[in-house]
Amino acid sequence: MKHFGGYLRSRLGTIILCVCLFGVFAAADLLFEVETIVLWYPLILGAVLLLVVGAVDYVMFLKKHKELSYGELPTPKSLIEEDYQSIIAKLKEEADMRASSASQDYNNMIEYYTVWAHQIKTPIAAMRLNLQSEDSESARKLMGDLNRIESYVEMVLTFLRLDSDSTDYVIKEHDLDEIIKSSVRKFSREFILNKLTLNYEPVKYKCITDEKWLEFIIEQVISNAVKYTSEGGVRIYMDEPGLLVIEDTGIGISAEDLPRIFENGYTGFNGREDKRASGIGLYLCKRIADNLGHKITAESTPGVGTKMIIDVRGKKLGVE
Amino acid sequence: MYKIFIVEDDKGIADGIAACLKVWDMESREVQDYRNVTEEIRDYDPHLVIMDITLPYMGGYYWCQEIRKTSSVPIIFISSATDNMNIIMAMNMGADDFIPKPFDQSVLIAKVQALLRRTYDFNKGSFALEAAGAVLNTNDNTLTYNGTKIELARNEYKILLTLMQNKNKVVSREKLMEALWETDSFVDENTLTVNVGRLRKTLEAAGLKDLIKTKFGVGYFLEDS
Repeated sequence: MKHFGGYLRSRLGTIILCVCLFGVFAAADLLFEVETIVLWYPLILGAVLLLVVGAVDYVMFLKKHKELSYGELPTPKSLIEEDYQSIIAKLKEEADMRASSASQDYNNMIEYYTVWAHQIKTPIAAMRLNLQSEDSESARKLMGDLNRIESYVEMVLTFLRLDSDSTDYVIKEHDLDEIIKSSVRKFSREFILNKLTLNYEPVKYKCITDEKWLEFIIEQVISNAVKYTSEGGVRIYMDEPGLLVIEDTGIGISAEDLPRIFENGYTGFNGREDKRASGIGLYLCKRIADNLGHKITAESTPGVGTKMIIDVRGKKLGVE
Repeated sequence: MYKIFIVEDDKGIADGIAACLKVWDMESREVQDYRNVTEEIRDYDPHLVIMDITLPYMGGYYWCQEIRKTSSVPIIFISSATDNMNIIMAMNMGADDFIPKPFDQSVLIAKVQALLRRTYDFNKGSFALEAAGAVLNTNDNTLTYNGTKIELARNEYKILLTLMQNKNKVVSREKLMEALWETDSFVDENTLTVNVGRLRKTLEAAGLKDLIKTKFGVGYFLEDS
């Protein structure tokens, strides 16, 4: 009965007309002082007829509403309905065309960016290989910049892969230490150049995860730790089994920024100071962690340091 | 002397690989005609093949299958397409190892040496570096001098290895630290100084006093006349 009100409203004109007609009948009969039965009989007959017709109309109304709410258009019953339907059909066609051309453009773009990311890796590989034969201050600086380029490229690739259908996860048991070591190695130059210490003893933990994606998360966190720490260093340890902590003695994150650091594009105060920040790294980390069934959280005290906690105890995922 | 064949269409990378193979006394040749890779490999008869996946005309997978029809020479793939699918594909095509681009010289050398060691017996050519009559043996991390074998601790070995790879050149403290970090020894400057001191003592005990010289404020070097 919830549509009854709506039905009455849509038939308001007819209802008012009927009431008026009954009124006119009644007034006319009263004026001419006819017998009561002559007054009431046609009125009651008329009312019954009206109710029957109204009930049938209401059922039709409900049926039409049902069809429309499923997104189908009922067979047009009048010229006006036909006109409306042809307008709707045209709009739908246009919208479909626009959507398909947009998705085509989007796919082309994704494809190009993917090819580009792979293309750029070749000159990076060549530069890296040749720079390694040099042992000088400037070679080390160039290598640092090259590492940054490389990590940006990796970020693009990750960003593109994150939502693609072909995203390949190979979930199995991994030695967490292997993943940590491989991530840490990539930042050796930054640590050495900035004279930062690394305090890390093997955590001896096995976790069910995808090696590459988890490595991306750990690399991002270490990269931030190194970037925002000028004195002291980084400590990697396990608080309780499954809770990997990466702690730095850097500038920290202010309390008002802390709840938002995993949002896309959020750079906060540190990011506004450092124009290189894109606000995308931690966002990607969060998304990947969600996909892997891991959790990533942050604690920080400005001026003292930041603690990033990665919970690698995934429960949702099955082993492949 | 081991012979390595390089199938890589980027000249910069191919030359870089050849240069770091040369440090280890390995001979190498780069592919000339990308349509006749199998023939060139047959002519050169290498001990190992390093192959890119994306190549002109035919891809690395194709050549890998072609090579496998007649030969079991070890093949290492190098590629920038590092998703799991590609790595699995490469292995299914008969490759022995996969190195994602970009890679470090040390990773490449380590994988090449490991594969050679697995495939051929030790006698054929072990990987050894020499300076001032002392031979650093990479098979068992020892140093041989005047017929005696000296055991080296892990960090000592790595420091000596890096210095020997750069004989007669000053190796900066940073570079030595980087080398140690590669083997998951995350040392700082003080630890490096301690390690070098310990290595010097070990060498002195073996009669190799002053093998490692200090270039003040920069680093260390090995003199080999």
